[in-house]
Amino acid sequence: MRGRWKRLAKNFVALTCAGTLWLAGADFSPVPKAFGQNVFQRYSNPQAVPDFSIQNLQGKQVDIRDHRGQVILLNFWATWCPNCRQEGPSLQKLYSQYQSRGLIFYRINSKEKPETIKQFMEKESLNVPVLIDKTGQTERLFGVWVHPTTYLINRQALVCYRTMGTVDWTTLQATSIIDQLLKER
Amino acid sequence: MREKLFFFFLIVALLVFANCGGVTPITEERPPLPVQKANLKMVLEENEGLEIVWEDAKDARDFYRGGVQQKAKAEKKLQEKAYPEAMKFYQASNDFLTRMLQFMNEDCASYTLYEGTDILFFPNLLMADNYLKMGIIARETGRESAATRNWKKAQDFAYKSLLSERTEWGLSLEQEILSLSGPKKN
Repeated sequence: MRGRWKRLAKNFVALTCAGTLWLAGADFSPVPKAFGQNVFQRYSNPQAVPDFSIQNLQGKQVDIRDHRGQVILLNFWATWCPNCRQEGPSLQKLYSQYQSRGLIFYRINSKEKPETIKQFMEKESLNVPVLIDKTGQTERLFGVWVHPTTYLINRQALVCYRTMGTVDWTTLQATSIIDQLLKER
Repeated sequence: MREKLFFFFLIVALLVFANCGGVTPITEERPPLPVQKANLKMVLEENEGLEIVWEDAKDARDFYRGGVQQKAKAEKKLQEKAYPEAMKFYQASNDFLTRMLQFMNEDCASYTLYEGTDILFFPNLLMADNYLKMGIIARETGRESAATRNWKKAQDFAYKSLLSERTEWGLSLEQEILSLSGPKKN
């Protein structure tokens, strides 16, 4: 009888140790969504893109309505946002690859000074066109909750996809969605 | 042994008092937030733009935005006295907001989304306002018991809102609900 209790106690200790080791080894950190998982939320009921007109980094007014009939990528970001900084290089690659194919790119910066943005772009060797949302009104129109948030707009001026958080824009998933939007007439 | 016990209780007592230090006394009432700083018009304006539809709402805050947008439609229909349509939109607004309240259930005059961007966040008060107006429509269409039921719900949500954020908007809404839910004057 006593031997049975001993065995039970040993088993209990062994299981506890195994459980502790498993917990110690398990990775509970958030899975990086950009790699392989479905980070692109496809709107089942695409809505019309809100109209807005704001200045670019060079001070020229840009009106979204001037791009009707084109596929647009709008990326809401800020230089102080670590996830936006992380996303920058892959977005730059996408821009280099797709600007000649007619994809309209705009990174919409949240309320920062042009000098701050210019310094950041130079330091990071980025040349994706930047618009400045001085008051935050454009972000409000889209209902941006987090940075970065990116919207993909089709030729009918409907918002078709949204991503929230860092995305690797060089993945097959990202490029195939853009290819498909560019193919649509 | 007695020494050990003494030190144990001393540490517990110190921890308890240290935690109580930062708590604001409940008895002290702050003045309510002025209506110029938080009101329905401002909330509706803040959520204009890209429309959220039920099937595409994913984030808790999408449900908030959807709820506000449906409410904006309901308000328009109420002004036009298009009661059935208004009721439909108020109900849709409540569906969105009810879902939202499962995730975040406290009203806040300054909910921070990210650096430098705050929004007015009043899901409970918006629900209260929806039920208040649904009650008004019910009375207008001769359904007195439905009106009473709606005002009871409105009262509960207004109470919850005022518990988390005391606003002149919330207090005036509470007064309006009380005056309406009293005995009907002929």
